[in-house]
Parts: sequence; C-alpha cells; structure tokens
Amino acid sequence: MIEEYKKMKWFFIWVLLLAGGMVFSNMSGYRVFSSGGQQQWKAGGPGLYHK
Amino acid sequence: MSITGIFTCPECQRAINAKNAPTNVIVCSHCFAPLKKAAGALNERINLLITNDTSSPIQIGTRGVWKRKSFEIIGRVQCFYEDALFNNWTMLLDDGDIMMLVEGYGQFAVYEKIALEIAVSFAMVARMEYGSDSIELNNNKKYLLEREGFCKIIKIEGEAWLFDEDGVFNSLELANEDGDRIALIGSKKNTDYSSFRIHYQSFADFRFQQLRNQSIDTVTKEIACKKCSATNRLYSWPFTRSYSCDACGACYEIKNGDSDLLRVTMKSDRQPVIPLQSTGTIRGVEYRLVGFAEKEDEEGYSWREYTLFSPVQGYAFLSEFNGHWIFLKETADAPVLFKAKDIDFYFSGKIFRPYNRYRYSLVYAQGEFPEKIFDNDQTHCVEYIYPPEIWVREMHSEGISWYHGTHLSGKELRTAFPGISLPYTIGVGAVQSAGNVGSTVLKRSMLGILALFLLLFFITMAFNRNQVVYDNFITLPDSTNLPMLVTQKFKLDKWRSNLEFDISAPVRNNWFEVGITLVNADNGTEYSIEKGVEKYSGYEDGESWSEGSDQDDAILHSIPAGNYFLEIQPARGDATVDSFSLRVTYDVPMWRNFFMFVIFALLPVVGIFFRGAYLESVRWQNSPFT
Repeated sequence: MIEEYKKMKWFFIWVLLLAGGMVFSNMSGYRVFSSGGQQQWKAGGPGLYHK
Repeated sequence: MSITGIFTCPECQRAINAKNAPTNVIVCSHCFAPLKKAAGALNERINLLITNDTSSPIQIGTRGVWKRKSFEIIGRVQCFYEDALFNNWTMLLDDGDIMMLVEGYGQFAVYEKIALEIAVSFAMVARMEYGSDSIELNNNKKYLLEREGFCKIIKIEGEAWLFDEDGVFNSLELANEDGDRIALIGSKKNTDYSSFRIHYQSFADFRFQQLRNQSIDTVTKEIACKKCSATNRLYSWPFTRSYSCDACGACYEIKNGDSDLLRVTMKSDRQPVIPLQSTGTIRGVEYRLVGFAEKEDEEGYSWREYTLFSPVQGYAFLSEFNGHWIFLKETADAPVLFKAKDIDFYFSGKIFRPYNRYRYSLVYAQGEFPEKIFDNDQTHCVEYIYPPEIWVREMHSEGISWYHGTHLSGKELRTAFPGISLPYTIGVGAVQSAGNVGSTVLKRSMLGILALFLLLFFITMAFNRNQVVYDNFITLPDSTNLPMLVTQKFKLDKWRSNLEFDISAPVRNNWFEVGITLVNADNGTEYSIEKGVEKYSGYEDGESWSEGSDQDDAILHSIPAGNYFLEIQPARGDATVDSFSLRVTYDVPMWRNFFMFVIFALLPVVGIFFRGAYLESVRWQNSPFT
C-alpha cells in the first residue's frame, strides 16, 4: 500500500502546489478563472507616445 | 543455552557431547556411527545413512528465533521423497524443548508436535482426494488434503529426533479454511502416526545466525552425459529433478539420486532472452538462471518460463507472455479453497478473482528444473489475480502446489540482468497494474485531498474580515436619465483583497442594472463591473412560472490597498423600479476558489481512474472468466 502512495508522489506534489495556490488566492482576494467582467483602467493610460 | 552432557560411544568407546534434549538418535562425532539415544544414555548402533550434504544454508550450530524463542540447530534428518528433498532440522529451544524445522526449496516451516482432538485413520486420510475431500481433525474444523509425500530414504546428521527408524513413511499435509495446516506423518500400513502443526515463516523472520556460506556460483553436481559424454554442471542439486544436456539436448530425470536418460531430446532452436547461467538480483535476492522452458495450453497460447535458483531462497520463476513478466515463487502458506475453484477468494486482505484456467504441455526445455518437466503430464492450473499479484494453483499427482507471483516491470528485469533485450509488450498483462494505483488508494487520496483543501480554506477564512464598507438603500427619481452616484472615500488596507457587491432591486417583469466603478483616489486606477438583476413571472397553460431573481452579487478581485470611492451608475427597464440597495463587503471568502482548486487537484485521480478502468477491460478480454 505504501508503495502505491509512493508511486503517486508527483500527484501529491501537484496537490500541494494547488493547495498553495488556493491559500494564496484566498489571502490575496484573487478569484481564479474570473469571468465576472471586471475591467481595469490605469490613470496613465496604456503608456504609448502621444503629443 | 543448551545443556551438554558427555557420553561414551558404544562403537568407538570415545567421549561424545550430546545435548540434554529429548532427541532419540545421535551420530558419533568420531566414528560417525548412528546411535540410539535414550534418557541419559547412548544405546546400540542403528542402521541409518549419514549425510554430509552442504546444499542448505542451515547447518548444525545455526541459531535463530521462532515465536520469540531462541533456538539452536543440533541435528538433521534429510528426507528423500519421491519428487522432493527436505531437511528436517532439529531445533533445540532455549527452554529445552525440541521442534522440527523443515526446510527445502527456499521454504521454511516449524513443525510443532500436537495431539489431534479427533482420532482419524491415517490410511483413510491418505485415500482422500487432493483439493476436494475434507475431514474433521480439530475444533470442529474440516481439513482439506493438499499434498502427499512418500519418503523413501532418510539420512541423518548430528543429534535428531526420528519418528520412524526405517526412514520410510508418508507425509500428508492438510489445511483448514483459516490457513491452519497440519502434517500427519506415518505409514499407510501402520495405525501409528505423528501429527504436527505447521508454522510457515519467512527466512528473514528466523533471524538466523551462523549460517553456512552459500554462493550462486557453486557447482553442486557435475554429471557426464550418457549420450555425448559432455560434462553438465548443475547448480541447484540436490533439488534438481530433471535437466537437459547443454551439448546434445539429451533429457534426464533424477531417480533415486541417479540420472535416468529419457527418450526425448531437446533441439536448441529457441533462444531465451535472458541467457542461461545469467546471474542477477531480483527483489533483493541473488539468483542464477538455471532453466528455460516454453509451455503452451490447449488453445495454443504459449509462454516462456525461466527457472531461477538461489541456494538460500530456493527456486523462483519468471514467466513471460506477450512481453509481460511475472515473478513467481512456490508458496506453501497459500490460500485454502474448499468450495468451487472458479470463484473469488479472500486472502491476506485482498480479493483474488479467477482469471484463467488451462492445462499446459511442454514445448521446449533447456537447463535444470525442480520438477519432472519432461513428463508432460498436462498439469491443470487455475490463475487468480489481484493485480499486481497472482496466485497460481497447480494440480499434480502429488497434490496441490500454489505459486505466488507479482508483475515484474521491464525496468526491474533490465536492472537485474543488464544488457538483455526484452520482447515488445502486447496488450495488458495478467497482473500488470492498471494505472499503477489501486482503487482503495485512489479513494483515500480523493478524501484526503478534500479534507486538506477544506481545512486550508477554513484556516484562510479565519483571516477574512468581511468588513462592510458601503451599505445603502437608494430611491431612484422618475427621470429617464438616472444620475451617477458617488460615494464617500473609504480605505482598503490589505495588501490585496476583494470587494463583494450585493445588489437587490424590486424588479417585477422588469430589469435593473448597475455599473460600478471603483476608483483609486490616490492614483486614479479604476476597476469596473456591471451587474443586473431581472425577474419575470407569469401564468401559462395552467401553470405559474417565474425566472430570474431580484438580487445578485458581483466581485471585484485582487484590489490593492489604497483610498477608494465608488461611482455607481444605475439603469432600469422602466420607472416601476423605483429603488435599489447596494451593500459592499471588503475581504470576503470565495467558495468558488475552493471548488475550482479541488476540481483541478482531483483531475489526475479521475484520469488515473478512467485509464485503470480501460486497462482492466482490456486485461479481462483475455480471460475465460469474463
């Protein structure tokens, strides 16, 4: 049984990365795969040259 | 420690040491006369052969542990059965008791003398049919006859306990469904017999010390071919029961210690992918490849078997079919099947399913073998699988043999025998792991992941403020163009967080929408979002219906710290929507994140599960039990 869990070590690394991602998202207010239509404008514009 | 006494040999009159143990025969260490031993004295010589065979890793003086009791080996009775050879070592336990350690072919069992609760006739048990007839012996339990052996010759060494002086006896091995095994040793002609409880134990568990040094490179027998006079070197003697001449392919069977030339000759037209006499370590045991055979079943399917030998662990086998390899060992501590032989059985916490049944015949063989391989007696086999494990039940003329095997990967094989070129794999092997991971492990992993993510989510929730920064009920004017509302400034002080907008409006067959812009008063950065609510209802075809809702929510996420205000631009379907309310909460937990991350975490498990299901379906296409 232990050997089978050892075979899944890459999977558990994947799970830990995702768990870290979830903690980071929740702590930073980031909404994963957000499709809520949020738009953002910066006061300085896109930074292109203009007269 | 054993107590030693000094006795005088009645043959050579010299002093010999003997243990103070309930043994009944001893070999004089000076004149090698086998002597009867009674309490406190040595009696007359008895007519027994002496052994000096060094093929066993155990020797007189070897120490070990059984059931937490230390013991020392003080003697041996070597039993030559018709088709097998076993060493019955005399164990002198530290408490002064003696027991028998039966060893051969890499199997080790302690025989504990017992009295049966029910007296049975030895001859009647001997007449039972292997694997089907049963008899009540102990505790109202039925016992199945598994094996029978006829010992023709015994040889002794050291100090031993003989249950039969002439060395000719029958051994019957019975087992009940709990795995309790009993050996009855006696003669079919006499009524007296001895009964023993058999305790199988692995070599490692005995924690042996002072073993005899053994090497897989030791040639244990050299025999000249009777046909071509070439010298054949055998490595697994005295366990060899058949072999072929390396030079001319002449085939031999061992009968009474002599080679008996058979009529059959094997032409060397097949090349094993692992060359004969290769040495390699599989699962921690060093083996020599001593035999190669090809067998086929009634339907013409053929497979290859490689016979491996270790002086300590005995024989093992590599079986190859369609490029898939199984590593097998004969195992006496095996399942006991009373009922139908083609149904599932439970053993060692696993459910084994019947996978295949067949009779095989020999196509080709080269090298040395522990069985009379050239007999070609159409052995009947049933295979039971719990991938990557397999139990193979073989029915011979001497009884039932069980082989326990596990799938062996090509990588393991190439590591054991570097430089070999393996055949390509076709399909799915009988015990090839389907997805490498069992369903129990997958289920536990899924539950574990769910628990881990829930725990982490609740921990992060404890840090969420759920702070209401704006909450207002706004009455809308009658005009067509609704004015933009601008809120007071408020401070968001977390490095980054989110804002949740809860919107509600009294919509009845109408809609309301609000455009919200969050403006950073410090640098002018704007974050905007639009959200609407709509609700419609009616009565149609005798049924009331409604759709939509008068409230909804929206999120602005990843908002950096700063001073902010809101620009709120409402819009509506018509003037019946005369108000709306808006509540803005800072730093709220997002369950959506939890579900998204859990789904992504479980994706590989779901993939493994479906791949495993597919491989299983392919595997069982080869089975007559589907």
